[in-house]
Amino acid sequence: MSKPTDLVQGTLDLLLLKILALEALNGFAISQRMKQVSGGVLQVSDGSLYPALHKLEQEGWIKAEWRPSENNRRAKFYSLTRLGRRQLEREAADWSRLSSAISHVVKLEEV
Amino acid sequence: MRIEHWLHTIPLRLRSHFRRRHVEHELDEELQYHLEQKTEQYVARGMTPQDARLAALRDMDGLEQHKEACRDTRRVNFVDDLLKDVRFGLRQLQRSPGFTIIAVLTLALGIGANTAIFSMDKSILLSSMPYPQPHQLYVVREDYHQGRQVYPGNVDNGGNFLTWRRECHSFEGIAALEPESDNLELGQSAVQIHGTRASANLFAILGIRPQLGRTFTEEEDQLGRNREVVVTDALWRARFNGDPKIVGKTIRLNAYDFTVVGVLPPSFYFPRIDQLDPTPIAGWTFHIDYFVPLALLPYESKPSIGNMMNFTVIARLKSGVTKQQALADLDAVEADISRHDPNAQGAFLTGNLVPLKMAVVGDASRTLWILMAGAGLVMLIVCVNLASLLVARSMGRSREIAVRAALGASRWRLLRQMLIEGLLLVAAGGLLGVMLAFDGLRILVEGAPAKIPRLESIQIDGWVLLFSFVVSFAAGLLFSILPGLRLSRTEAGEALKSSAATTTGNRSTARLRDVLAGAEVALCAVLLIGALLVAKSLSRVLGENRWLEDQHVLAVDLIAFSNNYGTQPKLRQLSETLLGRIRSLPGVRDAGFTNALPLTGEMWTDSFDFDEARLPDQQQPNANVRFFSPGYFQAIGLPLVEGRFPSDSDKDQAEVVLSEGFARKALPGRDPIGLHLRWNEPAFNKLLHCTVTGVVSDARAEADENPPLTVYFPYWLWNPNQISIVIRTANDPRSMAEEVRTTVRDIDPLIPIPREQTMQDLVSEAVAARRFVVTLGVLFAGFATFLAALGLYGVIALSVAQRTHEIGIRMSLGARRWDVLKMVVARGLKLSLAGLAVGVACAIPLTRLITSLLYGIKPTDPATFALVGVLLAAVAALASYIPARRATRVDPMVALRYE
Repeated sequence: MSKPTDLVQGTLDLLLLKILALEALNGFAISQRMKQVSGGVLQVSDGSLYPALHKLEQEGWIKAEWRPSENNRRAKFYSLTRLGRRQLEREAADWSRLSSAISHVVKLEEV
Repeated sequence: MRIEHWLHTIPLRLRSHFRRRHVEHELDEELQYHLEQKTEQYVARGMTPQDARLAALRDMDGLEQHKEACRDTRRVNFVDDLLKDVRFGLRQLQRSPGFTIIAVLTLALGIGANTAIFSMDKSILLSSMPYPQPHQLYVVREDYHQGRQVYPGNVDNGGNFLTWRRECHSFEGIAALEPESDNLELGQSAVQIHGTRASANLFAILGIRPQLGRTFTEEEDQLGRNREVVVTDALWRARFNGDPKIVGKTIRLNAYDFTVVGVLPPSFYFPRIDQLDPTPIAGWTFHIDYFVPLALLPYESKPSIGNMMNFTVIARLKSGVTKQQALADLDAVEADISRHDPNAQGAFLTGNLVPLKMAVVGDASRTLWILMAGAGLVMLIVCVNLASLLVARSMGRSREIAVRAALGASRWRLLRQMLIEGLLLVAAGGLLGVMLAFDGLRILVEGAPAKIPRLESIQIDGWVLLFSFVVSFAAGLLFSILPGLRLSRTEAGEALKSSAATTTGNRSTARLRDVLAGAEVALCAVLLIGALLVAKSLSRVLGENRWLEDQHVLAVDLIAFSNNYGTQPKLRQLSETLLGRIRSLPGVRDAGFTNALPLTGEMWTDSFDFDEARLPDQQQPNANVRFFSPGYFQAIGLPLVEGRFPSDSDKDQAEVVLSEGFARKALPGRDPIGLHLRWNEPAFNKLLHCTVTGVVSDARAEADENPPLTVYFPYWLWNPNQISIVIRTANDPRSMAEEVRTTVRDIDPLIPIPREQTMQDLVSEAVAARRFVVTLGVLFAGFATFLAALGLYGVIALSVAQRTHEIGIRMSLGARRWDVLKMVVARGLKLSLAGLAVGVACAIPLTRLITSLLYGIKPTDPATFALVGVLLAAVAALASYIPARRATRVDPMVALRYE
């Protein structure tokens, strides 16, 4: 499965879960939101977004549902499941542990 | 957490499979939506629609790859491949129908046999007894110690039972019972039914409540008040048409009135009489139909050691009390009883607690496990045979495999293909096998000797099916993994380079086949030796009882009411009338009666000594007590050894006949004729002195045990109320049966005749358990031999096919047909001899495990081993002769051109 090279392994899942925790979105809207919230820093190629979403769906962390989008076309909307919420908490905790550890190390080098 | 996960994913997976097109369409639509949105975005920024669309596609960088990645997340490929493998496997099996049919049939027979035998073992041995907390139920028996001698596991003395009930605190409840057979009067006729005297608390101990009425009270369990009866559901339905108002009604048992107080529920199970008694009377394989209060008689209530041991005692331990604690408690009381018995003279009793299930299942368990082991061996041979067939097939397929490997199939994928083909075979074989097992089990249960307990509870249930499933699956893995591993290691290059004709010549594969064929012969030898040993034992047991069988003799059992014929004069009158009428029937040569036929167990034992050779109580030899009428010995064919038999003219003389064994044991070196036997039987209330008039040959009480010491008293000393009339006829004894029945009915229609049998019937019932094991053993061994022959044939046939070229060369160089024949057959013999050697080596320790099934033969009987060797060598010669003959027909010219 292709992964964006500028994203740390596994963080794409976390980002998707976090974004979907706020509201149910379709694939296109997710890619827009991703750019928007990260101030354009985090870019996921449109192609690799979908395999990642499908994987989350197969894991049971998000569920999909077809409904009309804002321009009244049928679109597939993803939302978080209870399992997904738990997974998000776990991954977020892991992430903050990891990032604080890394920034700690980085600071050590500066001294 | 896991469950929630599956709740989400299982519907998704199913959807991906079964609505594949729909799911694909959704994927397209989803991506299409994205592209359109993106295009619109670019258009809004000022691009032309065409440029915008291209830019949107470019952003996707590789639409198709991403689609495939999305599909991968659905994990449908694994299942897809699996289905492909299954379809391919089915095609492969279709292409060689001969192999498939043999594989499925042998598997079905193996799995069927295992399923049927396991369901017997499971229902009889593994299922617990149908009572609440069944593990707390024990049968109490007494071990009698005299000097160094121990006589273990006796039924109990009634007085001792009363003492335990008073003094042992380990038991929540303890109940005694003594089985009996009685006449149930039904208007103008009567039938024999079987019941038991039982303590009132038996039902509480077993945790059984009646479906109608009540069980008896403690007050009713007293002499003089014991005229209540509790009947089973089966008796209630069969004899009283399930009368809902039966409670309170009176029925006539043995010409006494009994009031029905309760009916037990249909689910109530009670062991048969012969299963509770360690030394049962053979033929007493009856179900209990009714219960009457125990109400011990005064002479039955006296604690004593070694006397009046007639009662089976069932106890329930208090919860938390272990068997050891209960036993210690019991032994303390037993020691006390032994101390207070004035006749003990150093002998003493100890208690013996046998778990109820063990008591019921008893000896059958060993036999059943041995049969299971036999079935397991058969299954193993089936697997080895299939492995060998699959290896042979795999040789033919090595090119196919090589091509697949060259095209990129992984080793696992190739192995999986083999496993799937194996599992397809066991699936078919297992299904067929379980179907066979249903029929097989019915035949097994019908053919099983009545001695085997709990036959009625046997069924194929979920556990049995699970067992069959596991056995099938394990078998599938076992026989396909070996050839599979070998094949998946095929070197693609090698196999492709070599031509079709010679790819079959892989040396190590050939060696593997040899080993497998040898293993089959070895396993088969073990089974054959075991089966032959039990078969020989049966024939020896039959030989011991041949004298009984070779006769025109009929035995008719009948019972006289204890009320209508309650006194000895009345009983004697009846016996004499009956005998007189039967003797006068045409075609009757001799007729007489006894209370117990040979081979029907040791009925009544007592101790005796002689006026001329007085012995202290505890040293008197024990002997079986039998009663006879003049004519009995002549009718059954037991020859006189010495002296004379009392005849009708000796009526009322106190005379007695001894068995040869008893005379030798009790009066070593003395002439017994004219000596006086002393018999002090409490039930008679007097001491008898009988003159010995004759000595008769020994007769067995069990088909496969040495004859017991026996004392025969003439009926005028005591006339039993249940007798077997033995009639020696001029013609077919069976044709006499109806006349005898009419005669009895004519005298008193209320006398039931529970059974008529010829001596052949008697012997065949006595050896039924042995015959059952032999039948199954021979079936197993026969099947195993067939498989071993098949395996050998396969190996030899293949090697001949491989060596066609070589044989052609040999023959063109002048080898004669005989040389070729010899060469091929010798190879088969060599293989089978190697297998035989291994088999014999395994059989020597293994046959020791079946010693309990043998009679008059050692588990390592050399003649048996030799016979099996010769038999298997002959089978091997035959199995290799057929391909050998084919080899001799090889035309050298054709063979040499054959490339």
